[in-house]
Amino acid sequence: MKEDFGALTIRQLHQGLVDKDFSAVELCNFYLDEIEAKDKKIGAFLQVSREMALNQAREVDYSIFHAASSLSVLAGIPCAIKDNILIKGLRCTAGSKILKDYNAVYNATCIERLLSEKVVFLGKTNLDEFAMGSSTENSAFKITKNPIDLTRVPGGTSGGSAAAVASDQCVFALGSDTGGSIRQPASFCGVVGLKPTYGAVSRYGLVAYASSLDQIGPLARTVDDCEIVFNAIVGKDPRDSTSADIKSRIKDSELRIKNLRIGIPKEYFAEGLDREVGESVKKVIKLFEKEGADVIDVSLPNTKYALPCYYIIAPSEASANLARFDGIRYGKSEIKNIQSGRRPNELKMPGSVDSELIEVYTKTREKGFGPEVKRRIMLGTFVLSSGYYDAYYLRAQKVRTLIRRDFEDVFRKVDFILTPVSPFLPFKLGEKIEDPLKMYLSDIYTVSVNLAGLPALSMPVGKINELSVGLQLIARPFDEQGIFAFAKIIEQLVSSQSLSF
Amino acid sequence: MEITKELVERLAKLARLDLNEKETVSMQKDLSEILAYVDSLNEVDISGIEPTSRSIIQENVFRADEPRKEDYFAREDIIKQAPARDGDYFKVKEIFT
Repeated sequence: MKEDFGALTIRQLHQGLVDKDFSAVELCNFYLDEIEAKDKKIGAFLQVSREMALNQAREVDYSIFHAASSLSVLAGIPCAIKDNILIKGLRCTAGSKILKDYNAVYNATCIERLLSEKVVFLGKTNLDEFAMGSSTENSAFKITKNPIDLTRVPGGTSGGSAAAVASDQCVFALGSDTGGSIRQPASFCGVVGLKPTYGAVSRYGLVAYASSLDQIGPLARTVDDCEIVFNAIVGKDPRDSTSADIKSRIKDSELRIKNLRIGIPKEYFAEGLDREVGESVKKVIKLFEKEGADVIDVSLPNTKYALPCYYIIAPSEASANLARFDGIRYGKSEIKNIQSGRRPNELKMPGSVDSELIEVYTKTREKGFGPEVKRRIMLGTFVLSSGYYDAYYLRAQKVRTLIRRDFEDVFRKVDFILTPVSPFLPFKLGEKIEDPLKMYLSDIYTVSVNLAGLPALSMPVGKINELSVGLQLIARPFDEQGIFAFAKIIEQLVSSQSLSF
Repeated sequence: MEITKELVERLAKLARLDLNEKETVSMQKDLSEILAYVDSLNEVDISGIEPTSRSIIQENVFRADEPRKEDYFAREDIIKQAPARDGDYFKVKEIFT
């Protein structure tokens, strides 16, 4: 029984708890032991919250003792949380030195919702600093390795969450996605990951990177597990004014593959896509063509402008969001290292760029931020600055409208859009870190989805030399229900074929 | 778009980043490359196009301007993390002389 925990789904674990085959504390200890045994090699966790987890598990066992039948399906299920989501009582670093010792003062809304379901929090997972990157190599603290091949990256920025799920160090995890940061690591690590529609999940308690693009989402081993977690965290939140009412909650919908209209955008299968990855995705598409789906060639003409558009808009929003890290209210600060009254003979205007006050900011941020974060802040500052705002930022916002319209046009003809998640297989650690632009190109198939605010799921559909290939399903706003129903069909088809390439 | 050393220094001041010499040089190079790449947006015909700041159409959210208990955090939890504090105050360098 104990040895099999790693292969069990949320529903199976729930049944086991209700039937008293094992206790929540036993389940929690199993995962804590797995972390102990595996994480030195993988590096998925930044901190393990042993005490919190065991306390939560004990409470679940108490509930089971008194009323097993009313136990929520997620009760006692051990999970891991990306370290840019606040859990009160635990450190929250956002993968940055500047928040190395910061203690979360409140729970994110998604955390409160998971707490009300009585999940068990095993710990916080590694990420690229402030969610900027595509490999988790930008973390100020450690490298996370891809559990499938330890010489390769797990993807990013939710690399720790993806690696933890993939290596069975937790049952599910939460990540965040601004330009692909759930979907790409899910693809690289061979797990399922969902970026919800913009506004579907509250961003309250998520360390903000780009506020018009960020979303929190689940990562898990199966589509059903992902759906269960999504259901728990979705919903309007008065504390996030961009959160939306998702009108129809997930019901058991009858989605049939026959005559389902699926769009294959030609721009996502063109130059830049690794040949083998493209072929393996096309093989999967043929599977449901055989089952009667209507596979239609479509075009998203402004696709090639999505990445440049993203790398103007996201850094701009980041430069504003990261202005709060100034060494005054929290975080690592240089304030104690800057002596007051050192320049009595110079008439420096207080508040001027050379004043001690400003020096607190400039030195704190210089020491606290890593190179990629600085790059994006500088880029954002530039494109928002007077004289350049119209030519860059405003232009990018207009291109964003065109990208959104491309999707609206295509969704008049099809119900889902299918693409690869990544143009290439997981790359080697260190391979792209020296070349920022090369790293940015990892996101070519994922960023357009954030720009348009659409929901998208990444799921493993096969292997090439043991490395996982991920398929991306994109749907209309708030059609997560459709995505899950379709993804379950694909999951069955793929496993029945056991595709390897 | 030419990225000069002076531009980098000016941006660093705006961004409140104390970049050292080495960083300034490599930032010059990186920004040049990235801006050359995003310049491809100049190809796009944006005449008559409205900018998108919100991908999903939303309405303003209002509530009565009244304090709510559930919005309060323990003051000490917040202030105890201040890099420099004086009682219940965050301490800063002089702003006015």
